[in-house]
Amino acid sequence: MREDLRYFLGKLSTLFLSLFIIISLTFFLMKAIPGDPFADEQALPTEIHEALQQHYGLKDPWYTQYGNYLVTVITWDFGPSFKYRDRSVNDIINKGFPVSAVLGLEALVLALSGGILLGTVAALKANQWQDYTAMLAATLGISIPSFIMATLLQFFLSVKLGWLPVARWGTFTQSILPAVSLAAMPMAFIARLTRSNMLEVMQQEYIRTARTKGLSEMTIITQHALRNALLPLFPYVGQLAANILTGSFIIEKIFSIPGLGQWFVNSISNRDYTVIMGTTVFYSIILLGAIFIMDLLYGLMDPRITQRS
Amino acid sequence: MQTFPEELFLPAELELHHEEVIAPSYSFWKEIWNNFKQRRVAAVGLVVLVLLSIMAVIGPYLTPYTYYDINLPLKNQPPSTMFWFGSDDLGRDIFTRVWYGARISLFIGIAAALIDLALGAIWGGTAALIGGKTDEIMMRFADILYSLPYLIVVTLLMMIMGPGLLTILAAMTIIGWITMARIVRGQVLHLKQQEYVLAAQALGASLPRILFRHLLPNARPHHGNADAHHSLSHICRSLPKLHGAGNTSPNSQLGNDGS
Amino acid sequence: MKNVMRDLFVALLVGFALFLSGCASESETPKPEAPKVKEKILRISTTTDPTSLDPRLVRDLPTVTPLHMLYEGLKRATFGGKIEPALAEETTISPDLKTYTFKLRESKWSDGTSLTAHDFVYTWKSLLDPKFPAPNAYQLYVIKGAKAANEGNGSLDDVAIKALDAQTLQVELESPTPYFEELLATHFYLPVKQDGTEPNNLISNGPFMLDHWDRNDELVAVKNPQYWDVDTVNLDKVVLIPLDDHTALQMFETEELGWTGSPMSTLPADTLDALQSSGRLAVAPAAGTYFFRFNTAMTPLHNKKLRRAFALAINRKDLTQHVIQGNHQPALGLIPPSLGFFVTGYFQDDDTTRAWYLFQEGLEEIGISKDELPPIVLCYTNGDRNHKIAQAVQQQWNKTFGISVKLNACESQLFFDKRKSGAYQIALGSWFADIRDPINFLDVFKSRKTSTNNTGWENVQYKTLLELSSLEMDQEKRKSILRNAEGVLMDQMPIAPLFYSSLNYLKQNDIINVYLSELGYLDFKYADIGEIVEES
Repeated sequence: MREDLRYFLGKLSTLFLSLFIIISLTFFLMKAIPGDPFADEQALPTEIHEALQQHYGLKDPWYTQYGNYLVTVITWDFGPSFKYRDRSVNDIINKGFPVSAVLGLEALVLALSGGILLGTVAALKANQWQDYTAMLAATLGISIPSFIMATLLQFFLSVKLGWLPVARWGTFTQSILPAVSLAAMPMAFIARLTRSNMLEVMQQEYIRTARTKGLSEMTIITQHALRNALLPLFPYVGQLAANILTGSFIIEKIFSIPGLGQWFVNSISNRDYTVIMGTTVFYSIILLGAIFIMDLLYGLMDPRITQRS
Repeated sequence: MQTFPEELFLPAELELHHEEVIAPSYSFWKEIWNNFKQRRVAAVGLVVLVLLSIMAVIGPYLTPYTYYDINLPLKNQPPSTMFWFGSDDLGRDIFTRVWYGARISLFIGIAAALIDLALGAIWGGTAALIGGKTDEIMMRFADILYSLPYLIVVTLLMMIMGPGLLTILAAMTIIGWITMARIVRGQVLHLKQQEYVLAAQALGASLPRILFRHLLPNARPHHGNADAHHSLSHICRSLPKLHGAGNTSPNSQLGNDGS
Repeated sequence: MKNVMRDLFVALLVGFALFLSGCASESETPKPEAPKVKEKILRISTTTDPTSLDPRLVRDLPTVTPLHMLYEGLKRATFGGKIEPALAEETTISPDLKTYTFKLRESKWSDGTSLTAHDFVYTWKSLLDPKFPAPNAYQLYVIKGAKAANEGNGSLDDVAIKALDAQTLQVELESPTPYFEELLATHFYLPVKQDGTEPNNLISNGPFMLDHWDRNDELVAVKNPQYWDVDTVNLDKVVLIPLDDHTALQMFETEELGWTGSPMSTLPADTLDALQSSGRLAVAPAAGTYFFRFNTAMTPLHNKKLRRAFALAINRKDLTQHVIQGNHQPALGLIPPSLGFFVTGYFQDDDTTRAWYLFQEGLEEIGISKDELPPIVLCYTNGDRNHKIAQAVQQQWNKTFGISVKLNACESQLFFDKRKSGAYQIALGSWFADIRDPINFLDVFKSRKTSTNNTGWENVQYKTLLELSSLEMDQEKRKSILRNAEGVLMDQMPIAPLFYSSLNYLKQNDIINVYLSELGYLDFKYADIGEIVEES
């Protein structure tokens, strides 16, 4: 028990260290590129521009600015956005994340269930028509960029056939097209990985043993083969989950979904420093958290890997 | 009682020749090539890729146009005998531009895929194999790099390296290898418990040998993903383009004309 | 343990489905009761969410429209560019033309309280307060004492804005300003109520008031019952929806939107031709000009003849008709004709012969040959349209001069930085007017240090003419002074005008009386949704 606790605390401290490095690096990288939130095609008078920069502390020495940023992270209060002056970054995250997360969850469930199903079927019926169709679908899913997939779906299913709403967010039907567009590529990825792994696993001796023991094929697949085939995917799924849950810029843009995705991209071209810091910290926590959980689960499901080599 | 002839009880002659393996032995690479030939799909894919590469090289020479000649009155023409693929919105021949752009796209796509594959596989594989603290440090390093706002990194690269082919390559590979590393790490974590690994270790094989000779070739999914990355490369090129990391025009790339 | 995985998976799916249906039913809007009279709702798409509803903080063009919906100032710009009285019922100007006295009409804020001259004093002084970070403060510098107060060199009490009584406002200017009434019609001079600028509880005084604002989702404004002229307002509701350009077009086709395109968003470039030929595209002139800036501080463009050569060699007709879509007009001067001032050009478009001679003469003056010419780089912000313009012009210059100009597309902030520090040779740029007066364009290049200039060019005669024009109150005389100034600019050519901008938009046929200002905003005070009008 003490061993586990020490392991857990060790992991936690690594997490905090990583977070600290990410925050610091982001700050210095941000300051390394030219530009500021007030520069525009139609330039402001120099005095006003400088006064604004002064007011927001952008002219302070770098260590003062760095210190202030660290304080905002620790207190979890990132201040107002530079561009959207009456919105605080916390508010932006609090309103945007739930939307992205619901969409992301839908897409994740779709990608996982669809991908695993496709991959397993393809592996079990290897080199037959089921395999070829499944892998064709998977290849299409990986090759077609998500924005083209989204636009095509929108055009055919919404505009031409009118089956689903064109855009915006709020009802379940409005979430179908974006979730499918978002899930397409991960599903294809997972399908391919599952197929490869299942093919391996089905050749293993313990599968043959299970068959001779008289277990039904279904039981073998779901309780023995799948588990071993899917385990190697865990680290990837952690990263995937973090990305999908925090919002995809392109999908949210095409379907006009008020999620968090656009803030990651727009804040950088706007040089909206507070938003950049807030969203990066938020994303890092989700990413590191997801990877941590998946690593933990992996360790639980396959105790062999935690043994020191 | 039956009597047995004595000849049956003479001692057998020593046969000192070993068992012969009748099938020809294949080296590792020959085996891959054979498997490849058997899979029709893979063969077709290879043929297509080769054809595309040939066209990329000779294509622009087949027409009297260059890829940059602007001819405004003739813009947006459909395919015809004059413009085999039609003309774009500045009146340039699309056929020439597509194959000229294919050179760049194929180069970047293949290079980026290879780099990501190599870097990711080695990183993830080594981390998984060594395990423990090293694994932790290596993967946290990857996580930190992955968490940084990508567009800032790209903008910085653009500033330092200026626009150009190498910049695009750098922008794509600087983060791309991480996903590969994660996948390979997952696979290797699972595989390193296999007996042949233990056997290799017991025989005193060095770490790189175990990694390259035994583990990586068996971590099959990552081979399959190389082509995934190839396509991803094409797609991702549009992202750095947002930040001007691409070639200055009138060079074309497939992303340019396609979007 | 073995069954757990499967059961867990199924449970997860079921739970997820329940969760989603729960979410859906929560956010599903209740079916509205059938309205007795059809509500007049105008839905418009925007590219970005409005940045703020406090007029003192707003700089970006798309947000100006909601400001004009929600607030009203002393004057209002309306059809034909006329300035009509809004809150200022009567305006008296002193003989020395420096003091304006406004008699305000009785009016109320949306919360029922009276709007007084003190509100204007509060708003404008807060704008000038150096402790309040207002980017628009400089628009008030025509007022006496304003610049000093804002820069911390004077006290706010010395700023010449006074409330003589609750309904009378008096302002004194630094010097006679012929375009002051134009300024009063802009969003820079809108009044706000103290502590009434929180979006959750916005107190405004315009034809519409804020009903609710779901960020990045929709902004809904309804007719303001407290508005003094509420009987003239026809629309019941205006809804702004941030949408992707292509999606907006599709929603317009399905009639879910009443208006899409300029000024709040952009129609997708590849659809403009089709929309134009189908006759549905509506076009209006904008008070904006696109041009190339030349870095006059760097060889070889310090030479005037070379600059003129580059400018004359451009075929603007080809550019506007073939390269970029959108009904933009070739620019042969800086000031767009939409301001109603000037109509003839200063040079000929695509004058390649003269351009070639100027090129040779320029090279001679510098003393180098064509091959010794240092590489010339054309910078611009990333974007499809900019890219096409650059490529087309690159080829035009190649054909005329036989030189190859390099193209450099940058990220926008990197580009602004380059431009400011003079690390460029030719840069693509534009200017959109804040007010409908030519001096707004000419002031851009007033002096070398002017923040909007960035060309390193300065001319004493030019500066003097601009200053003279401000002292001239006779309209015609002032026009000719400004025309002289533009002439100096066009002779020296620190910039090469490219084209005058146009606003391209789509509007459903039953929407009428919307005022679309050349400055790039919409005014819905008189707008109406009537019977379908047969377009002839």
